Amino acid sequence: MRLALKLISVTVLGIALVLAIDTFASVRRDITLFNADARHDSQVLGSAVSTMLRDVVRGGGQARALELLREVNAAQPSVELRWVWLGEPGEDPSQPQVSSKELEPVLKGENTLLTAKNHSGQECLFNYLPIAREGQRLGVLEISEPLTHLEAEHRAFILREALVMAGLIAFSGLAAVVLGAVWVGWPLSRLIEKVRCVGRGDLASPLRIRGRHEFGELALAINTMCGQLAESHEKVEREHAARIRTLQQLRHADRLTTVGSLASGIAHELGTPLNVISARAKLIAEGEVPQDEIPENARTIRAQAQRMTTIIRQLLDFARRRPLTKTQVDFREVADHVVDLLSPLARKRGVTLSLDGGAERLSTRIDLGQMEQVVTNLVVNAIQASPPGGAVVVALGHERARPRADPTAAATDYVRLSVEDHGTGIAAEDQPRVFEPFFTTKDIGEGTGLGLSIAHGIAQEHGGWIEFESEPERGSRFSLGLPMVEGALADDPSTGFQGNDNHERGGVR
Amino acid sequence: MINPGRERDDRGRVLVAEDDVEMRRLLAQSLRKDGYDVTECGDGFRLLDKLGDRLLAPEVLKHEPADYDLIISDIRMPGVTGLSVLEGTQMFEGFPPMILITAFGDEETHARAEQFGAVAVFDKPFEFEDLLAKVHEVLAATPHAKH
Repeated sequence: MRLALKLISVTVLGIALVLAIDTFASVRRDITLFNADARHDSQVLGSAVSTMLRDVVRGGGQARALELLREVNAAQPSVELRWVWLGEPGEDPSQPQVSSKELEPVLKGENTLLTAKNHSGQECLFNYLPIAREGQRLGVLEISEPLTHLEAEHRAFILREALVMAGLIAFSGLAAVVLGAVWVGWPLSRLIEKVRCVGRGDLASPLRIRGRHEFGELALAINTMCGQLAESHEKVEREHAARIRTLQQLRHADRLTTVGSLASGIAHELGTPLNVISARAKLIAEGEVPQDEIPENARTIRAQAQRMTTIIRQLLDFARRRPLTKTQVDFREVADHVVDLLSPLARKRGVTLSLDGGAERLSTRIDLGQMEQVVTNLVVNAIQASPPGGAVVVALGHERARPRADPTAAATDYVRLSVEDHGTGIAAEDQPRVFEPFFTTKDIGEGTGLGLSIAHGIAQEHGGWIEFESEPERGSRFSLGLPMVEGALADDPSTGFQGNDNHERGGVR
Repeated sequence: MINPGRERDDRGRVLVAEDDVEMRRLLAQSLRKDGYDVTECGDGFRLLDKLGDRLLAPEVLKHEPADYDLIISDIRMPGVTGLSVLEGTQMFEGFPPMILITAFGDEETHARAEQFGAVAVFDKPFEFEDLLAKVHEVLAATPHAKH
């Protein structure tokens, strides 16, 4: 609306200026034409009357000439003809209305035409024509025509032009207000509203501005743009939904795989003892076992049931991982404790177990019980993989590394514990499955295949990792990495190693 | 080579390979009760040991009488799996037929066992009667009684 007003104001001002210039030029031209006309008329009249007057003066004298002038004056009301004397003014009151200085050419006998003010102060056209010389003075015919009516005409003309201009401005103003509102203001306000809608994310409601003008085209373009935007928006949403669906399917498939491997693991671990229990019980029930063998059969059944109970408890542990209760400890103490705890087992199997590493403090924030379970698992695996006479070396240290879960993150300090054996190693085809639940290469009764899987999970929950290198028949090295923390250990006595009974949970899986 | 099974003209000689002690004892006990001559072994390597020279020169010894009339083997055992033994022996003549026992009774295992000529595959836990019936059926059809 304001834009429309400005546009129309500038246009109207332009038109008014052109009109004013035109009016001015017209007035100037009119004045010039009128002056030329008046001069011509005056010259024609002057020529006719002066000729007559000269004849009359020669024939009858001045009185007759004055008589004639009176008659002419009566016949020509718009002009005044007078007899005036130039040169010696004398007594005669017939003086010219124009100053004698301007009339010098007349004294020389020339007709003189000029514009000047008369006695009443009116602008007049004067024509002086010499008639007869009488001694020192010259009788001259003075024809004067007032130009006042011309001025009036010009005023009327200017007034008319001013009125036209005023009308034009009024009309333009009205047009600016009405048509500007209809043609510009309304579509603009619709456009602004539409743009705000788009800003709010509403792409659906179309912009309704009809017509072949620019606003119509703009509306069409905006509607098309909104359509395309909505379409690409929809496409992006569809793709996003599809991606999420795919991810969910992948996760589902992943869960199914885990469930599948868990199920077959459970089947394997529970199938054998179930078979033994069921068959033994049946033998007893059918009286096929001699009386003296029944207690032994019952003991077997009980042992198999206990085996199943252990497996199920481990499974539950695996499924319901306990929340971490972290305390700040020197990791060296964890390693010391586990090595102490497992030395008897190593001796029993003829394996040398040693702890290697400096004396520096390796501060970590860990769940002591769960982390002991992890280290115990790694060491027991190494002992079990070693042949009699073999050696298992537990090494401690620290390194600067990037977290395995996010290789783009900044490198930080990690405590590193490695357990190395020179045992059977892990076959290349088994290596990718090492952390799978229920995957085991151990003999029956030595492991369920849950231990490393649980240890791996615990390490990950601590922001760390377990990785391994292994060569069949040459041995394996499992490494545990855990984030190292700065600062002294807390004074909280519960964080100390003594008096902690968590090691009971650090069983071998 | 003297095999104790040969001296008894019983219902047949069965080699049982199973790494779970209790399971192995139970199998052996049940089979012996039914009158079979049972030999036990606890892993894949010992199973191969029992098959002896025949494994080294199967073509040469294929017409020699076998030491056992039937092998019942667990699939997953330390050393060599029952399935590997099956795959390594059944393509030659002269090896005794095999019944496999498995806890990982997936379709792939069954398909492979069938492909390599296992007489039957039992998924743990199974009914002992079914296994004994199968043993009886297999041994009744083989000419072991002539020995």
